[in-house]
Amino acid sequence: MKNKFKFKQSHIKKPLIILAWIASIVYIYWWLQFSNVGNIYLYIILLISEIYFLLMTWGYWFTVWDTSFTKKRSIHTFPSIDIYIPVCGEPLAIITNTLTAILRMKYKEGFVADYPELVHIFILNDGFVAKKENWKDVDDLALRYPVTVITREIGGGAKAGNINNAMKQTWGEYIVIFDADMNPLPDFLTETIGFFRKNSVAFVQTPQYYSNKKRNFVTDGAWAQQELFFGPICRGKNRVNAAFCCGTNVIIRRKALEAINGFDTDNIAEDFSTSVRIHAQGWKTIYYPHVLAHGLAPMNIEEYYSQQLRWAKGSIDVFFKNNPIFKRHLTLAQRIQYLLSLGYYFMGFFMILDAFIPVIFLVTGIVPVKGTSTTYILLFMPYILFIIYILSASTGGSLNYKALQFSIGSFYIQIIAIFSSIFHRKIGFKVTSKEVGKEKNFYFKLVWPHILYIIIGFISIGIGVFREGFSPAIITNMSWIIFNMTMISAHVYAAMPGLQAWLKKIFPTESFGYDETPEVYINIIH
Amino acid sequence: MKDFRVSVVTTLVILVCIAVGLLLRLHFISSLSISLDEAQSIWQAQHTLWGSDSIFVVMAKDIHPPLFVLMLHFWIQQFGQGAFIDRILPLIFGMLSIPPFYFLVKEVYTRKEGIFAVAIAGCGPLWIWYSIDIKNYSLLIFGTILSLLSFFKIVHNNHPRTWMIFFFLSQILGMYSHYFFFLIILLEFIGAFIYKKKSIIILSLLSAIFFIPWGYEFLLFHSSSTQPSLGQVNLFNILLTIFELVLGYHSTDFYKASIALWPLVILFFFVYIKAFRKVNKDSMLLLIAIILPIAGTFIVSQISVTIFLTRYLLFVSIFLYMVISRSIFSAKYVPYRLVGTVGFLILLLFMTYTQFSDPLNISVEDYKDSVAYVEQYATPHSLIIVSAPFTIYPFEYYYSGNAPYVTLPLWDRKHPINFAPTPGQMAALVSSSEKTYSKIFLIESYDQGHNNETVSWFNNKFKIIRQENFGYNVSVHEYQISYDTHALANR
Repeated sequence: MKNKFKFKQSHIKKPLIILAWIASIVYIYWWLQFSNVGNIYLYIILLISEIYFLLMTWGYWFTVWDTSFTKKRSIHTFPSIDIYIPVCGEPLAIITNTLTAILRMKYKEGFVADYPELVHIFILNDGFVAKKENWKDVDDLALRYPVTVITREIGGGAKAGNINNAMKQTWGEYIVIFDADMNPLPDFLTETIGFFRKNSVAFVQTPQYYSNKKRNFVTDGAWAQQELFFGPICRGKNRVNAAFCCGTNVIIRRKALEAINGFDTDNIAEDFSTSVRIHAQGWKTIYYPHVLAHGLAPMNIEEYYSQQLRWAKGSIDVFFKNNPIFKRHLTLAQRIQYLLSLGYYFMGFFMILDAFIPVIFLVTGIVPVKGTSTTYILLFMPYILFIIYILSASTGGSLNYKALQFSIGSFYIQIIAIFSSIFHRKIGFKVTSKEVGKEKNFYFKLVWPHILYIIIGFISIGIGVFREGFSPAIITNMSWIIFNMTMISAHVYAAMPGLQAWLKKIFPTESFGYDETPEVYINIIH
Repeated sequence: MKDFRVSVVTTLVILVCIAVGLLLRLHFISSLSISLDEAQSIWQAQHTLWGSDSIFVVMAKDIHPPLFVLMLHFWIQQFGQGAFIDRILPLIFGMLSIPPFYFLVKEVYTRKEGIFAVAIAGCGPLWIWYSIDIKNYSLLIFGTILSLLSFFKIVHNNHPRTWMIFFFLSQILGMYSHYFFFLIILLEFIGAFIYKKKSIIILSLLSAIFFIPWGYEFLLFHSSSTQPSLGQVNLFNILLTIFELVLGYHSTDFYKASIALWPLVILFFFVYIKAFRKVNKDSMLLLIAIILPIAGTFIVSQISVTIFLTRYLLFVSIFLYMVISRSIFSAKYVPYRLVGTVGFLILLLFMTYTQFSDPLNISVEDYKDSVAYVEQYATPHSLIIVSAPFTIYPFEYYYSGNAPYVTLPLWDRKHPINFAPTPGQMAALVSSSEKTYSKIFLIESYDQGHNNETVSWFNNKFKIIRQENFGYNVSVHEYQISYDTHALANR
């Protein structure tokens, strides 16, 4: 059976990446000449920001230098496997779907349920410790399926603690983890287990595909970001043995996990920090870029923010408390890859610094850079065009503007995460509910910074024009503000389900409003 | 049935685009005065076909091959002379370029991009400008499009014989239309390496044989010192040229304000990011076709003689328009495409309107009004000094007054000249005129780098009575040089 979805990808010609590097060096050289310094403080702020974006860009080009991947390995033995489904208050219908899909996974000559001596399925119920109303229902659900439920009575460590608790009570050679909203395809085990023929392999990570990506504007945006991550980024990381565990759709060698005393319970991005420790012990990890499980994207902006905040906070915590750059026994390439993954969550901070430079100019007339902009434009254009080309080409053209908008518009989440990490302030997050409940018409609290920037932008444009008229400098800075407004506007729109619904009534041809059901799934259901 | 319907709709849309393009061209055809270049073309076309003063000899001394002027010669013989009627000839080539442009874009991309490209070609400011300019540029566009169309047909379809013949003929047409067509041939050579098609090189070389007679004539008669100086170019000119190629000619302030919008160009690239997904052979060649001529001519202009001019690089607009079409249609969401296509067409129409209506447009040369002004005020006791020398072409085209005129410095237009008038030349001209004339009308245009000095010299020497500017490029200075009515009476 073939998967319906495949990640598009293309191998970028290396001479083009080399040319891009040259263009970027020429560009940054212009900055480092210091011959165009206007206001020194603004110049330094911009320069730091430019260097940050340049390093991230170089990192991305290094990542996509070669995205070829390890081919599937044939299976010779059929080891024992524990399948974990960590649950914490998710609706029963969603857990039932996951269970159904798991039970139809193939193993040996049949399905997993046909080999109870080899494959054990566990629901790791954290509903009790998390005081979820349906925890008992989950326990009861387990009675109707050939699965075991492990319900914690003493909490701690969130999902990582839940898994570690289960590890003590189970014995399979390999552990497979599926979040409660992830539905594996039948081939999951047969496609992945072969990689463990190499004793050095610690885990095999597969992509998270959102089958509800066409449900609405938010699911589509969330998927657009996933496509970039699980496409070229993970493939590139795999090349340098830096593929990290994403917490679901993953199969792990128990021995590797035990060697590091289980999942890291000190970090809410337990999968990430655990991966660092696994790599530090010299294990190999595999990213297998075929979709072998389907899940659900956050359905609204609140869920999206909750998910992103968790990832951002966890990653930034790792950056400040357990930075891989200082971790012994990691290779240089692994350190770079981890730093790139962590560095992504600082983008919002630098983005907002950049976004206020034109505002400052329009309001005060202070410029960070003086002199003619002609040279700057001619140096910047090739650099940015190479960035755009490599971004687009590395995803086989699947990357769209919305993915960039969703990434850049996440600055608020990332800034909160940074401050929360620096000042050790706990931030709460909801478990993505995946349920269509009563939606607000406008999630103002989540996007007020975006709206504030748009208002400040318009005011500063007014001040600038009033002061100087439409001079070239005013027009350029005005254009930058419009650029930034456009970039962050997707979050504002995503925060307005009321407007989306209204527009859908007016333009009924809108392509949202349905979930994909893979053919393979239809076969299972019927 | 569906294919038939698509064909009918496509044909109708293309016809509408062509009709709109024709109406726009006809609307603007009489709006501008004849330019210096146009007047020079007409002057060249008025030469005989044979002899020591033939069109071929005149053109060999010029910076363009003879084909267009030769056609203009016959055109004038057939239809007479006049700004409107003579502009019909380039208009024909401008209009003939549009249908093959559709097929070219369709060949490289798809039908949709082709239709949009036709709409762009119909209302593109620079394409309209040169469709009604009595010079060889619309012929260059026409030849380039035919050459590229046949090139892509050959490389995509494994040497179809018809297209090979077409390619061969279009190469000859292109070579005789403009010397910069050799850049197209160079690009096609590069394309031949990319596609591994030797036939392209062989056909181009074969067609080049037909250029040898003209090459010989050129070597025999050409003299670079008869050519005007084009001034130094800097990095800003690169931006300016790219801007002009897409959005036409405008005033300096308009340019600066528009180029200042460059962050929005980056936004455009981000919105239409899917256009960058793949660099296949076609798009790589298009990219080279944009970068190579611009970078190449700029570098040559920096180290040797200035050849970096927007109009010489007009053919690059073909590639820019193709890339823009592709970019807009690469968008995933229909609203993006809709906004992109409609927005870009509105922008082009607006730019076309301002291009022809803005009195400060730096490319508008208003000789008609300046000459009418001189005719109004100059008497037989006035001397008209036309400076720099090339201004004589449009001046003569319009002038029918009684006052005598000279060029400064005196110029036999068939022989080499030093364009900068020396103070000695000016003093000699004036001293010989003072006894005969009471007024001097100094017409300045087409600055060769010494207009300011010339005007200063006259300003210091004589009392200026009036000064009028006619657009950005032409100015008339009226001086009182003598009050001796006796001398005038004895004349």
